[in-house]
Amino acid sequence: MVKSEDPSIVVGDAAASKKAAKKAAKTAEKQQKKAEHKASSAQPSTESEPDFSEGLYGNMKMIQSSGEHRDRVYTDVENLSIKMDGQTVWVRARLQTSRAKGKQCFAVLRQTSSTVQLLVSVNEQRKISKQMVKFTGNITRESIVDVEASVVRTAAPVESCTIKDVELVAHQIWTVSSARSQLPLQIEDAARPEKSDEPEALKIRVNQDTRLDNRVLDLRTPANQAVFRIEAGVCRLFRDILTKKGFVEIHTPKIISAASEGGANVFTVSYFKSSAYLAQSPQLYKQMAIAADFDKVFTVGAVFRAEDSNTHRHLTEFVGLDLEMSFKQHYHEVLDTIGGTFTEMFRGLRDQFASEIATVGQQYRVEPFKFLDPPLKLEFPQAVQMLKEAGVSVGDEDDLSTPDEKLLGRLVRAKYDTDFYILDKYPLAVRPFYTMPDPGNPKYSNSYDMFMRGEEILSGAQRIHDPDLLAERARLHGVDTSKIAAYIESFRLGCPPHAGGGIGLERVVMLYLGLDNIRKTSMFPRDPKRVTP
Amino acid sequence: MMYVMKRIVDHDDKIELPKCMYHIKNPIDLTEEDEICLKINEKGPNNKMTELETRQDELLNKLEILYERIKTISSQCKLDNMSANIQSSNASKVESVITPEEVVLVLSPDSLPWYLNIILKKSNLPIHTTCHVHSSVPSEKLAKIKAFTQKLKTSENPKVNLRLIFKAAADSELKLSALSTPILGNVNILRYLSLAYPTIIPYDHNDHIVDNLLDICHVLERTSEKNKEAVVNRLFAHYKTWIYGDKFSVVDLAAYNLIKQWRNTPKFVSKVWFDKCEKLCS
Repeated sequence: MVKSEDPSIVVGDAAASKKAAKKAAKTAEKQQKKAEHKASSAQPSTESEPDFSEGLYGNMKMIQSSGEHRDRVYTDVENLSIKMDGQTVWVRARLQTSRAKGKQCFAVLRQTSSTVQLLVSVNEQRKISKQMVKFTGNITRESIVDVEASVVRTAAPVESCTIKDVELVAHQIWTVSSARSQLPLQIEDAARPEKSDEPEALKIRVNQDTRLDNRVLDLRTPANQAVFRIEAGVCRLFRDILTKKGFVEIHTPKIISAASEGGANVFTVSYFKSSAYLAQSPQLYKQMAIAADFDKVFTVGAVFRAEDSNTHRHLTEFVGLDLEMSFKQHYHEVLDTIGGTFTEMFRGLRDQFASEIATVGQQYRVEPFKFLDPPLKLEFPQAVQMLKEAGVSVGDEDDLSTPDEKLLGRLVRAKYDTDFYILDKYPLAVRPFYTMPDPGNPKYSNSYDMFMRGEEILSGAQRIHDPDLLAERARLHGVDTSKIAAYIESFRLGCPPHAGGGIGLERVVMLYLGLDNIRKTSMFPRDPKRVTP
Repeated sequence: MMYVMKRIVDHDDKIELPKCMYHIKNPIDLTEEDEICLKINEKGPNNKMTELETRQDELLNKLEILYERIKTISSQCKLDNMSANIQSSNASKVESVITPEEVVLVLSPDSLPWYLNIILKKSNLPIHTTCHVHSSVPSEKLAKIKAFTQKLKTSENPKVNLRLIFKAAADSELKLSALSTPILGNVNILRYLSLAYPTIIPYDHNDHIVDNLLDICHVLERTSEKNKEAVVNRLFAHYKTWIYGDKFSVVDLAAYNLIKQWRNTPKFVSKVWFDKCEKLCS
C-alpha cells in the first residue's frame, strides 16, 4: 500500500526522508480509504436496472500487445473538424474533466494541447445506458481512455475547448490506464493564466515547488507542452543552421581530470581509486578539436556547475550549446557567424513555432521578442557611455554587474528597439586567462558577450593560440600551469587562430519567451536544493 | 533808594508782534532735514537700478547658457569645425576604442529617407551608415529595403555612426540617445538636420512662410489620396523655380522626399522641379 511512495524519497537526507516517508505513507493511507469509501457507496444503486450497454464500456484489459484491435485507426484530437461531421472515429486521449448529471455526462478529452468535448447521454437506439453514463462520470481525472464516437457539429461553439466547432458523441468508452483518484495537483489549476483579466476568475495557482515535485502532472499543461516543443525547436534549429554553415557536431567528455574554467565550481566524482570532475564546459575539448583540423565544430551536451547560486537563472546542470570556429584574419568573422546564427534561429522560431509561442503567451503574458538583422553590435566603451548618461558610472576596467546589465538592456531597448544585442571588446582584466588581448589597446580584449532581454546568454572570445603567450597569461592569472600542461601542449602542435562561445539552452528559451524562472524551461531541473525527480 | 534789588519780573523786553497771521512752511525752500532726506532718496532709485542690473545680468547669463547649449548641440552634429577635428584626431590615437557619436534613425519601409543621399554626398564629416531590419518587418518589404540600402554611401574612419533601423508601421524617429526624447516625423527630422548642416539644407528661420510650407508637407504625408491634389496645390502656391524663392531649400527637400515615396509621380506635381530634386539627391 505504501510502497509506491518510497522510491521518490530515496535521495536526500536520511532523517528528512524518514519523516517525509512517514508523511507520504499517511497521505497514501488517507487516499486509499477515501477511494474505498467512494467505491463502496456507489455500489447499491446500479443493481436494479438491466444494463443494455454491456460490452460497450468498461475497463479495458491491460494492453500487453496481445494483437487485438490492430486494425483500429485512431484520429488525433487536433484533427477533428467540421469536415468530419457525421463520421465515427476512435480517439485515445486523457479524460481531463467529467461532469455527470442524471442522463447526461459531459467530459473534456485532452491530447497534448488540444481539447474536445465528449457527450455521453442515455439513448436506447445507440445503446447507451444509465450505467454507462455513470461509469463515464466516475472515471478518474487524467485517466487514458479509448473512445469510439461520432463527430457532431455543435449548435454553439464550445468556448472551453480548443476544438470549438464539433463535439464527440460517444458509442463506446474504455479506460486504458486509470489515474489514481486524488491527484496532488489539478491540471486546470496548473494551466490557469498567471494574471487574469476577469475579476471573478479563480485565483488558485500552483506554486513552483509543488509543480517540480509532481513534474509528470505539471508537464501536461498546454503551456509546458509548448515550452518544451520550442526548446526542441531551438536545439534543432541550432544544429541545422550550423550544419548548413559547414560545422561538424562533436561530443566531448564530461568526466575530466582538471577544472577547465578555473575555480572551485566543479563537482567531484569518485573515479575508481582516485577522483575526477564533471566538466564545467567543453571549452578545452572544442579547442583541441580545432587544433585537430575540424575547423568548425559545435557540441550539444550537459554542463555541470557547482555554484551555490539559488537564483532564477542558475541551474547546477544544464544543456550547453557550444561552438568554436577557426578564422582567417579577424575574429569578427566568427562573431558575425554567431550573430547570424542567432538571428536565423529567432526567425525560425518566429515562423515555425508561432502557435506554441501563442500558447505560452496565454498562460504567461509576455511581449514578443524583437531583434534586428544584422544583429546590433555595440562596443564596451559605448555601453559605459550609455550607462553614464543614465547616471551609473562603471570603471574602465570593471565588469558590468547584473543590475548594470539589466539597465543597459533597457537603454538599448529604448534606443534601438531590440531585445538581442552583442557587446564587443570587454576589458581584459575581467575575462578568463585564455582570452586574446586587443592588439590596439592592452586594456581591452577580443571578447564579447551577447544579451537577450538584458540578461547575458553567451560569453565568448578569440582564444590565445600561441602556447607561450598562453602560459604567460595563465601565470598572470595565478593558474597552475602544471595542471593545464596537456592543454598548452596541444597548441605546440600548430593551431589556427580561433574563437567561439557557448550558450545555455534553457536560458535562451527562458529569455526568448520572457519567462521569469529557468526552472520553467528545464524539464527536470537541478539546483543546489533539488535532485529529484 | 534804600535797598537796590534785582528786578524779578522784567517787563522791559520788547515784544515782537507778528506781522502775518498764519505762518506756513515754504514748499520750495529746503530745510536741512529735507536735504538729508533727499540724499537718501538719491540712493533709492539706485536700489531699483541695481535690481534691474542684476536681473539683466541674470538674463544675460541665461542667454549665455543657451548659447553654450546650442553650441554643444551643433558640435554634436559635428558641424564643420576644424579645431574640433584636430582635437578628436589627437584623442583618437590614445583611445582608439572609443567610438564616435551614435545616431539612430528609425524608419518605416514605406518612408525611405531619400534626403540622406544629399547629406552623405555633401557632408564634410565622414558618416558611417549601418542598416538593420527589425523583426517586425514582413519579408515582402525586404527587397525594397535592400535596394535602397545598397546605394547608400558609407565611409570608414567615421566621426558619426548612423544606424538605420527599418521597422514596420513606424513613424520616422531620430534618436540621439536612449534617454532623450526622439524627434518624430520626417519634416521635423529635416528641420533638425538643417540646423546641423545649414550649408547643405538652407532653412531661413525668420521666414514664417517656410515653416508654414513645412507644416503643409507634414500634413501631406498623412493625408488621404483624395486630398493629396488639394494639399499639393497649396504647397506649390509660391512656386517659381523652386517651391519657395529661387533657391533650393528645406521645403523642396521635404516635399521631394515625400513625393518620391508615392509609386507614380502625379500630374499635378511639376516634373521639371521633381527632376531637379532627383538630380540633387542621387
